[in-house]
Amino acid sequence: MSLWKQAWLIARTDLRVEGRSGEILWIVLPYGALALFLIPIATALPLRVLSDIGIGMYWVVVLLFGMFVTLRQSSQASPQERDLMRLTLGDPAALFLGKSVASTTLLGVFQLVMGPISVAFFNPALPPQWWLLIPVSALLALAMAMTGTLVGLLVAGTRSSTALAPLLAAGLAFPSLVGASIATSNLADEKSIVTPIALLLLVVAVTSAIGIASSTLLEDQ
Amino acid sequence: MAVLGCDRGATEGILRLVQALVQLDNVTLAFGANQVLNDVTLSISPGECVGIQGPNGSGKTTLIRVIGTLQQISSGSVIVLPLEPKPRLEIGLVGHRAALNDFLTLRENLEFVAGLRAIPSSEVERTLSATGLDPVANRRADRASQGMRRRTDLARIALTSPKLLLLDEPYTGLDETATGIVDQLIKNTRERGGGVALVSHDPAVLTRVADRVVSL
Repeated sequence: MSLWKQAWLIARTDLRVEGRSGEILWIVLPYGALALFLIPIATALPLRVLSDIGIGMYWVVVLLFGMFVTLRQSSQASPQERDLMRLTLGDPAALFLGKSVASTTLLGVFQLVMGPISVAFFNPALPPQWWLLIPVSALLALAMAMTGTLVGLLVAGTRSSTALAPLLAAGLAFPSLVGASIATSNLADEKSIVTPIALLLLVVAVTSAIGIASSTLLEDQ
Repeated sequence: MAVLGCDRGATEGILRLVQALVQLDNVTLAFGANQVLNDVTLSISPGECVGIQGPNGSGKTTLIRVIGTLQQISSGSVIVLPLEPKPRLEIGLVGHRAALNDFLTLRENLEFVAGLRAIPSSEVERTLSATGLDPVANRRADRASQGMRRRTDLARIALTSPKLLLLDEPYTGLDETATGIVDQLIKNTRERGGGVALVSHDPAVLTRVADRVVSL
């Protein structure tokens, strides 16, 4: 079976498992929404300032809670399942690609839900060409998904994986946040967003290259 | 048989390596200061079932993982299925705990493996029926009994028909029907020219099933 067919099957199975566990629907999404709700209350900032920082707060919530999406418990395999995958997959990269596709989809849904909530709580000043934030969001989802998947595979089975994984993933996803943030700022100033898009593409390219190249190595750990 | 350019010792060594499904030589494994395997030499020939016994903590499960290429060693050499282009795809492992995703049904767990191996779904149905899992196939794995979970693990092996079968205490907690499934898997693997490594602490099981027994 081809690499992509295996990856697609892994992605579909991961999404089915997530649908049944409800981890993102019942835990991550409500907490993300709660964070967006609490920021205006906790800071007690004037509405004008909240409007200015609205999109930035949205990106921060997407980054921090997005890590919980990519590192969700339902996608973490037991030692027995990991052994099974090692003895079943023709190409270990299928696991990285499949899980990345599933996480990208879930992050896309997460962003879609958080978007209107951000608008409701912050009333952010959207740039004239706000629709250009859609490809930025998609690239951010892809970059974060690949980063989170790579970290998840790296720390799988280690003793401190629960504490280590979000820390590592958030750190590695920092360039993606910078890309999304610069894109937003440039759009507000009616400047080109080619540079931040290129940065996000670079993160995707580098992470996917490392993920695919290291799959065999990780498999033998 | 004569091979030009090789002395007899080397020729025999090469033939032994090519003929054996598994060849472990002087394998040593330590986790820090804890020596788990010490100078283990073992081979499994086509059609052979090798029993592995030893007290708790003697490294039986670790040895099975070494044979399954799932555990790196400290020193020595491990050759597994040397004639196979992708040896891992020809290894079937049944461990202490079933390798199932709890959120999938027993059928879906089998379908997942079948999908990854491009095995037709009709084979999944046939295997479910042959292993007596039909009535509970749509039950989620986390709601299935331990016996049914283990039986699903065995069904996965039946589905993939590996050349090298690694069984770690496969009879523990199984009823008569499931015991028969394990026996049949071993028999089928041997008849196909495959090899079996069987860990058990029960000497009666090893006497009944294995051709020879290795003690750790």
